[in-house]
Amino acid sequence: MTERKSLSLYKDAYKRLKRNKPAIFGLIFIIIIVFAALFAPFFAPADPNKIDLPNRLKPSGSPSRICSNGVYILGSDEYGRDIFSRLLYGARVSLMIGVVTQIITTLIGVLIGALAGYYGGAIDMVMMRVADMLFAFPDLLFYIGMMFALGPGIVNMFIALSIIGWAGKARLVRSQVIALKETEFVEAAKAQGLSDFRIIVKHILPNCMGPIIVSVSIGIPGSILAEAGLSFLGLGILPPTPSWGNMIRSASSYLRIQPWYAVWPGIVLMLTTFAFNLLGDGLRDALDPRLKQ
Amino acid sequence: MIQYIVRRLIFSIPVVIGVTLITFVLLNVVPGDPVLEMVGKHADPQTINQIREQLGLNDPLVIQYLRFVFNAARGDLGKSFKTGIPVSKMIGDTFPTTLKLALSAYLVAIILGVSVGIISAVKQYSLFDHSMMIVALAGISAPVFWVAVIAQLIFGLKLGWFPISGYYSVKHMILPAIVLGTRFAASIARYTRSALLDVIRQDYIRTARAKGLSERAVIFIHALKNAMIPVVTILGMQLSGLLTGSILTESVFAIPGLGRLSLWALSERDYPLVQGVVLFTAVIYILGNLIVDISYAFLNPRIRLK
Amino acid sequence: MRKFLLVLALIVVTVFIFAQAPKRGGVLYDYWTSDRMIFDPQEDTYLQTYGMARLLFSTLVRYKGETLELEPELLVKMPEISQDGLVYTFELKKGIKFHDGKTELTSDDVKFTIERMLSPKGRGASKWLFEPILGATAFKNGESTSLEGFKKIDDYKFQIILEKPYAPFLQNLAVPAASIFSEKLVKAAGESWRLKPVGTGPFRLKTHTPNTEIVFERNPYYFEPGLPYLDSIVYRIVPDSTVALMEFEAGTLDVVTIPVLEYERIKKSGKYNIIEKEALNTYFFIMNLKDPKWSNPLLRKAMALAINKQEMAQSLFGPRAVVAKSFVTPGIPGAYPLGEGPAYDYNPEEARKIVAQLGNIGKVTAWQSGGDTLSQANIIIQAMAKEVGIDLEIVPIERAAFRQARNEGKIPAGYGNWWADIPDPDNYIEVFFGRDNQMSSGYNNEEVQEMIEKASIEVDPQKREEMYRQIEYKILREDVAIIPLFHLKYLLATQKNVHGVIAHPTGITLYLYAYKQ
Repeated sequence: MTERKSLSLYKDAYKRLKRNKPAIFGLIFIIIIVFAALFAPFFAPADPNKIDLPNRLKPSGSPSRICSNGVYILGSDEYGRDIFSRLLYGARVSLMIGVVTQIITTLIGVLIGALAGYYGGAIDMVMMRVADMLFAFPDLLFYIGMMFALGPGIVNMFIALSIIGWAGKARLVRSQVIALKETEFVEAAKAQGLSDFRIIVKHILPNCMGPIIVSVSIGIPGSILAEAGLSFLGLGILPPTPSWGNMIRSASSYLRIQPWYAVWPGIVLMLTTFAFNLLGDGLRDALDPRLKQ
Repeated sequence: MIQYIVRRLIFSIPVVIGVTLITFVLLNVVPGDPVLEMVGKHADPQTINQIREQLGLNDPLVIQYLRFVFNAARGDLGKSFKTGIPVSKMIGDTFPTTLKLALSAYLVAIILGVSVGIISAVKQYSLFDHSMMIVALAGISAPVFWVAVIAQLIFGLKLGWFPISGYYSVKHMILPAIVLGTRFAASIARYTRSALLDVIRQDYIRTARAKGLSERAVIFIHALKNAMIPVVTILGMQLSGLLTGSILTESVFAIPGLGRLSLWALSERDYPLVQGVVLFTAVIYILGNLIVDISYAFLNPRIRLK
Repeated sequence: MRKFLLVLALIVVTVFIFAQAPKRGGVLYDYWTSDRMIFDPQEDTYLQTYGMARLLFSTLVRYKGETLELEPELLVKMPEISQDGLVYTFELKKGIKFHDGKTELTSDDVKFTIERMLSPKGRGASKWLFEPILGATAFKNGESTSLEGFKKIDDYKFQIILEKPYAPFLQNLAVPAASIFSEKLVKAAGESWRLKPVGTGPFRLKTHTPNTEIVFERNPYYFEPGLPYLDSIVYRIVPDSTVALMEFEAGTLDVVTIPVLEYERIKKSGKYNIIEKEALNTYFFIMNLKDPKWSNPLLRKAMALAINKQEMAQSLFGPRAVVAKSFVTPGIPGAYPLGEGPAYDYNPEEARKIVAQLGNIGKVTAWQSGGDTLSQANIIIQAMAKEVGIDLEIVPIERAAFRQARNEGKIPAGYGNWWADIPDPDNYIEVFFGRDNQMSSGYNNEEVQEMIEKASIEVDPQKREEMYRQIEYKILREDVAIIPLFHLKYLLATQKNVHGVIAHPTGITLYLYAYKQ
């Protein structure tokens, strides 16, 4: 019964999503970016870390010695590296940050949220107080402290962003679980003598998927922006590895000479988070038709 | 009501203590010695030890933490390692600036967000609605520091409309407030729109319309009051986002607020100052959320506090 | 008629002279990228705090204008030094007043200042300045309550006796950290001293708004008649150097450090005064001799041959940089003249040969101290090492953590720079390669370290200089413990109406003679 119910829900949701033009636009853009990131070595005209000091901060369209097509498509940076190639490789970092932190936080959040919601009592109390603490903590300050503690780098970034990030998801799952716990089909499953684990995994979680999917799709741009913010403060992904955040940071020193250098990574970053937000919005509308206006 | 507030406040105590504990652990895990930061390039082991002793850094960690907690409970946040100024005074000196920035940003956000939200809701599915909602989403998507840098370049240097950086007069606050504010305006516009649309369909609005009230009166009198709920929610939700945003905005615009103070404290390893700032923002966050929850009750009697 | 012409000529000449004479009054706007928050140069060794100390305080001796030559500041004349180089006799100017206009400077204040720095209970961060004084060690360790080597003669005359001869001692006294405080005022201020400094310098602190601005106003009691010219100096806190340049171009700052890539544009515009000045610094790549991999002298030599200093200096700092052939900056007595130092030249073929000879050494590591101007250099170093086959990994470590590791001698290698405190080779060589140094050099050549100790106490200047050149040859050429890369010049721009700004080689911008036309 449950299975059928959720299946039809997703089918309906899919239909609704297909009709939502902005969301589809977002999805297409995300696919393009993912594709570009995966095949960055194939698309990039140059090695993103190859420097050519005499050709620094050239405008777009300038001839290039390091690009295979002989031209800097979007200009060169302060070491004469190809901005276009760096943007492509930067996409890898940004997407990886977005996706990996969401996977980690969702796993932890679902686990803790489900336990807290299902069992209630002391577990719930303790876990939710911990979540409260993390919420009350100024998040950027915490990330900064974590990055100081761990040192910059992509893995440390995953850790820093995940330690706080799970709290929101745990709360979400918990409230869903509490609501579902009282429903007939869970009662029925209990009556059949199914173990708690099975009930949670088979009956409760599938019914929480909607809000989780939405929170993931909205969380990805959040993580991407957090990475950019940290990299901007010099605590994130370290040069020479390109990330959109550290590109903006470096570019802001050359605004007067080459303003476009700062504009490109900003635009790509914005479009990507924008696409995820569009998709997230679409998913929410699709999965929760009551909200659809 | 009072009972509710008291209970909420009591529940917050372990949260606040937890926050200080996390901060304390984090500070002691972070490599880098506050004393080395203080003495500079000619470090002399003896001087270093002497200063450590003075600052109580040679005591066991548990003692250090308990000392902090007990002093903080008595309202004494200690003195900054670096300046020797009481932490409470340093926070007191910088917080008003951040508050001013936050309030001006909120003002921009509410004026811009609510009006765009209303027009979009009233003219649902119009070109204005569609384009505004896309602009709003783009506004949420743009990194605040990037917008700040670009705004500085265009409005500060090229056009010369506003001062580029620093905080010396009201004029200096305009550009940062707009940069930070438009970001929140975007979310407020989206929420106002959907809340209004929700409300417009409710029975009592239909009744009001049926009674022959003009469309404008309907929107303003009935709908808007109810639509304030999401606006208040957003304000509450973004209390912490605002501090985050202010760290970045304050760094780009060189505004001497709490955000920059916290960054400075962290990079100087000024333990008491970091502790103080984190404790302070956590309390602000908790109180802010309490106020938000209470205002729900006022805005919508149907929501009862429990 | 002739008389008339003569008078006319005189008038013209006078007008001309007066037009050129410094104008009194005006406010100068400068900036700093961060606020150090405190003003006590005994506690904080940042150049920024030193710069402020030159406004607020005075030292016994100082550098004459932009030279490295000393002249008396608080003293009537340069101190007399005994034949054996041990006894220095000083005489203070009479009637020097502190900023309050009441307190007068006496010999006791000098004694107090020195003891405060050395005090085992204090926070003095530059104890090394006064360590050559007789009894300093005992005092520092709390074994005596009075500094043995300080002899007061009367309120204005005193002697300082050294433990053993130390030629650069007077230069130590010119370091801003050796600024003279007032015993009475420091004691009266207590804890708040570091925030409310009172000195004898040309300016006094008017207001300090943390992280916003620091305002200094003219000290009406300043002991040099007619100085300073400016009414006040405002230091704004502008964290970002790009923003600072924008402010400068918008006219809201009077002085700016020119970012390298903007140099040509700023200079060509002709709208500003440009100040270019050599400074006492060396940028280098240092390798820890105790690191398991870098301990191999062949690897260090290969590294030295691999770096194209010319290209690196040019691309990083353009017109600001001069290629370094020695570690001790040229111009200092005892340094090699520019371009004649013992360091290896760029020779990639030779480097490749050595690397081949080394066989498989795997990855070698260097560290970077936070901050992003350094990383540019490191990217280049990494690329150049790769060219000759050295796989150099550069690990960035957050600033405070880096400093701690350096103190503990744990840094394997790294790009860095040294701005000398005093123009003496000892301040380079001893600091980096002396026994128990805290620069993470791991230097352990006993023979050379003995030579360093001998050189520092040598009284004959010529002999001493020769000794240092020998020492440097051994460190740079034989041990290849450090690779000097380049020296950096000052590159300041000021608005056209700003004159008399001195960019001193010690890295401090001086405003004593500055004025706005």
